[in-house]
Amino acid sequence: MQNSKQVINYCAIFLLFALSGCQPQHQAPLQLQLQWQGQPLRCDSDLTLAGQTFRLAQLQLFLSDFRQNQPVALTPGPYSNDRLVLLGIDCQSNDAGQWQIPLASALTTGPLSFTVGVPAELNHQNPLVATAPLQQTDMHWSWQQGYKFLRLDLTGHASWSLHLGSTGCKGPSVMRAPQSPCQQPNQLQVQLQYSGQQQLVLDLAPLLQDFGASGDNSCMADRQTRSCQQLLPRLGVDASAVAGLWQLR
Amino acid sequence: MLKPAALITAAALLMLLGSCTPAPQPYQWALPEGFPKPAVPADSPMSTAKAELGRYLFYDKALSGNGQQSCASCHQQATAFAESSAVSTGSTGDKHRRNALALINVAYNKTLTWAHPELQQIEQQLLIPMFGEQPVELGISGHEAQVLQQLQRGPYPALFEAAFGDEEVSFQRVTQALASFVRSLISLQSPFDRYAYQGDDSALTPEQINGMNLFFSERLECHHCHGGFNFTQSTSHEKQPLDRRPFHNTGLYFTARQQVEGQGYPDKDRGLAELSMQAGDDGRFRAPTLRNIVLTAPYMHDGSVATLEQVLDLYQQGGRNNTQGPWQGDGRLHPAKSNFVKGFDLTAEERAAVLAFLHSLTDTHFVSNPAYADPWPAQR
Repeated sequence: MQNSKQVINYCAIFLLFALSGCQPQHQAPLQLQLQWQGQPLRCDSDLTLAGQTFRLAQLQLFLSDFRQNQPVALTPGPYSNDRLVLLGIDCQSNDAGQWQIPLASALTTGPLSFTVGVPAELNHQNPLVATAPLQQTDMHWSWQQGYKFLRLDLTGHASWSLHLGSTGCKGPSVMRAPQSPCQQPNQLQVQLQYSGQQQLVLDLAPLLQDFGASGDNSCMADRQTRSCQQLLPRLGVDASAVAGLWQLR
Repeated sequence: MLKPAALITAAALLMLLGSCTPAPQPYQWALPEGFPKPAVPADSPMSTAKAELGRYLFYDKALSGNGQQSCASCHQQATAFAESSAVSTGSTGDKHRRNALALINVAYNKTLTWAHPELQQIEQQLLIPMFGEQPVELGISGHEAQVLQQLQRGPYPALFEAAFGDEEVSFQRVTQALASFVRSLISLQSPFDRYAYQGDDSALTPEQINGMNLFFSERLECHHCHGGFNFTQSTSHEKQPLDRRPFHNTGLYFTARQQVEGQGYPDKDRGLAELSMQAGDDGRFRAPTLRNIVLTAPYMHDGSVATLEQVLDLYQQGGRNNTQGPWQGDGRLHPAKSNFVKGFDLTAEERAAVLAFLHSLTDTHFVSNPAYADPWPAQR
């Protein structure tokens, strides 16, 4: 009798696990919302940069190391490990993009911080044995340079790109890990005040609306180029990010 | 009364047994340690026997309507399973409009052919060369019964039996076996691989390392399209779930057209735009792998660039200005041109280094591997 109760208990526990796997997570859902001048930005939205019309071709970015006084872990999945998630969309592909930040525990009211980037200790591993979310080759620069932390490609008036990643990573060659930290890690810290919001908004307008993008001035995280000199500080490289770029809503 | 642990064990055993049809030996991919395996369709699993049957089929001219061509007629091992002609000629003399793609690590391709975002399984792609009529390649359409009859001669009965459990010949089995052979064509033993993935610092010369650093630099931008271990971003494997199907316009053409409004790629081949119906996809093609690239001349979707040196010229100039011939116009001005094809300056020394690096992608084992060679006796 005792045993059959145990069996029932095991079954009940098993069922609970099985069912909870199908339920939407109630804990602190937080979604990335891409936006342009306050409006949702989709693959078919027009965006006007300095009078010229563009469309989104791709926006992908890595967010990592969520913290509220102490680290907030993520749930590992096809697009995440316990400290890093790949979000965004490639407008050429058929999927609807990855927008959910898989926080493993509920957030509490107070400061919330995270990093745009791949932590340095994960950034220069053998790409062949990389596991999710670092196995995505279109976000990989090279073994030496690591990953593109943020990849924004626009199309329309011209094809234009903004790719952010670490630079000045010195090593014997591009196919070897750097032997010392990269000179410009370009990991961006973002800090916001959390009070129960459900959307993490990334508004590209404060970054780009007055920028005259052309086929010749893509920014590939190189500080020697004028376009990067203008845009990297707005993203928060060696500066406070431009107001309104990141918001909680 | 069974104890819970015993019950759970029994249940687990039942589940294990239930899934146990006589298990074939798992296929051994010819991959170095640590390489991710290709993703294979669940309904067409790999086996050594299927790949071996596929090899016989691949080299068999009986697999064409008039017995004149095999797959190997246009995909030759010595040239990394590409062909040295600008465009291929089918079994009945039809000219194909495109250059025969090299069959290198095709198992990892996200999409197949030069520009087809939906074509992702080799089993499906094979129907084009086998049965296609525009152009006729192997020309099996209308000759199906005769071709199937031919595939009942020796040694096929034993090969079909080993691959599928009985001697029945069908085109579904033919495509699965051919696909398995094509998936088995793995090239990962170049000097570059020894340097990059096996840690052998001496596998590349200093000049090749300089060229490799240039190749992966933001100055040359090559790796944006030819990135990843297969030197094409259009790559997937078992650990890579995202759906990415990149296609690029490299500024080869910008010419007047009869059939389609506006200037762009010539009517004969507009690339992805023909399927997507989007003007912005004009002239966009899939970046092919650069592995064994020295062996696969001529280059580009239409074979219109004869040598690797000329390919480098083209990218140095940010596209091609066609000043003679039927498709005059400056391809560099094409509005859909990739923003990574914008031209660059190279010193003579740097240029030589990039070319030396591209030579390090040649896998001599791949092009001489007897497991990929014609299995038929010389006299047939």
